[in-house]
Amino acid sequence: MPPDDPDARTDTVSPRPVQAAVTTTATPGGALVAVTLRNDTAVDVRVRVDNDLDGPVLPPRREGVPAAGWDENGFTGTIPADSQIGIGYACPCSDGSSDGAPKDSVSVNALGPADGDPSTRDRVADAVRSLGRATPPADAVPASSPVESGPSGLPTPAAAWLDAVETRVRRGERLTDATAEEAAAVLEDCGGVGAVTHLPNELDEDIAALRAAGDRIEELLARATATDPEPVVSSLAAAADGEVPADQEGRQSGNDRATATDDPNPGRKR
Amino acid sequence: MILAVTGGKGGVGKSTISVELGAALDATVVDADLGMADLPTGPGPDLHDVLADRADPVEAVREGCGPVRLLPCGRSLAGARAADVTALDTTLRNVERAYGDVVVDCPAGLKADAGVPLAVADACVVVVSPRRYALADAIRSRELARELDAGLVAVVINRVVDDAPEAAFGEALGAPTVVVPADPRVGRTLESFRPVVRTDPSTRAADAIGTVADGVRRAKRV
Repeated sequence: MPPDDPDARTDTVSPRPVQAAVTTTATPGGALVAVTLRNDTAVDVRVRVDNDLDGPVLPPRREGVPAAGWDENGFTGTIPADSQIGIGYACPCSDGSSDGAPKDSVSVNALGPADGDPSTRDRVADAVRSLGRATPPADAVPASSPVESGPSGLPTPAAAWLDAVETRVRRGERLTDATAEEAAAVLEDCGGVGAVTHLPNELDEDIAALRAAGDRIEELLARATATDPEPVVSSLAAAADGEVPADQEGRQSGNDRATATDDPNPGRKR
Repeated sequence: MILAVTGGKGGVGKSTISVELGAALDATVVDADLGMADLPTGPGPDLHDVLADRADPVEAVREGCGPVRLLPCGRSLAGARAADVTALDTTLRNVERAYGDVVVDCPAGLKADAGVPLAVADACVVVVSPRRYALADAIRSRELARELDAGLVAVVINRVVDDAPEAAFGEALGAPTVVVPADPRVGRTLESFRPVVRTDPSTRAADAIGTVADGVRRAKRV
């Protein structure tokens, strides 16, 4: 953080034996707090720094794990004898974006001389910080692809649902104004009266579900047809490959060129 | 007690020794190889689900499906990516609270997924192959375990055909060395999920596993 930042304000908080210089910089997203802790005594001193801003502490992280000494509310650590340490965190607070720097970002308390290592080390966090995570990279994880379509052109789960609805509707149609003979034929087909006793209720539920699905489909169809991401995506892809976008380039390999010229409208077919 | 079965390289027999020790100690075996799991799995929640906070650790333990209680690990890259290795701490402790002793089959390598089980474990067993380079692997594994405060109970030299450099290992590592002779029945432990300590307890291999298990029991009492 530049010391001459116009938004920055440096306060000196002095809970002896620790001298603390606090610099709080307001940013559009919140506040950045830098604290320099100085120990002028001849013994190591343990110190606690608590966040007083109206927001959570976002501590520095290594391998996704907060750096040693940080917790939800602040920092606990040891300042070696006759030396200083610097710490800093971000806080997405409302004060940070308001005019002027927030007041009293932190409170600093000396916890007394550090004898031995009274801090309970979090060995798991230490291991992750020092060894590094071994998670596979995001690119290696297959993205969840659009749902597969069946022979009807509908996504398989949707087709299965509609087929089930259709079966019930067909049964409902056959039983509508049916004579005793027609009704008996339906019962024979579906194996007894037990299979149709819930049919009126099920059809009511189907009607509600179909209406909801219809509304959703209409809305999504309108939104989907209004999109046109292709030009931006192709220039992004070209930039990622270190190439000039196709429309600004004279020379291209045969295959790419064929795709680019044979299809006058490379956007999606509608 | 939480016992980590570790060793720098892949393919030295960590999973096999884990299952054998799990059977010998009547412990719950946790397959903590988040990226390359090889203990049997099946339907139901696995360690990936537990570490992604989608399942309870105790519910994910398979009981009665084989000779040892097992908390299997998923095989998918997406699962490995979603799993938070720091959650292994509470997971292993919860399993220990519910079922008693836990044997953790650690992954190869020196990344956090291999280190966190050691950081959580009370003790560890290092498995190495009887090759010339294996001593260096064993020393690296021992250093990592020491850094993470997992006491070394024993070094297992696995699949020994001829004479193994037992003395050299013992001297260099300062820990008891146990030789597990090459035995095709041990080789089939994972495949058939039938540990030799149960099926062929009179073999030299089963005897060696028993020696390691005794060492673990002694370490537990200390």
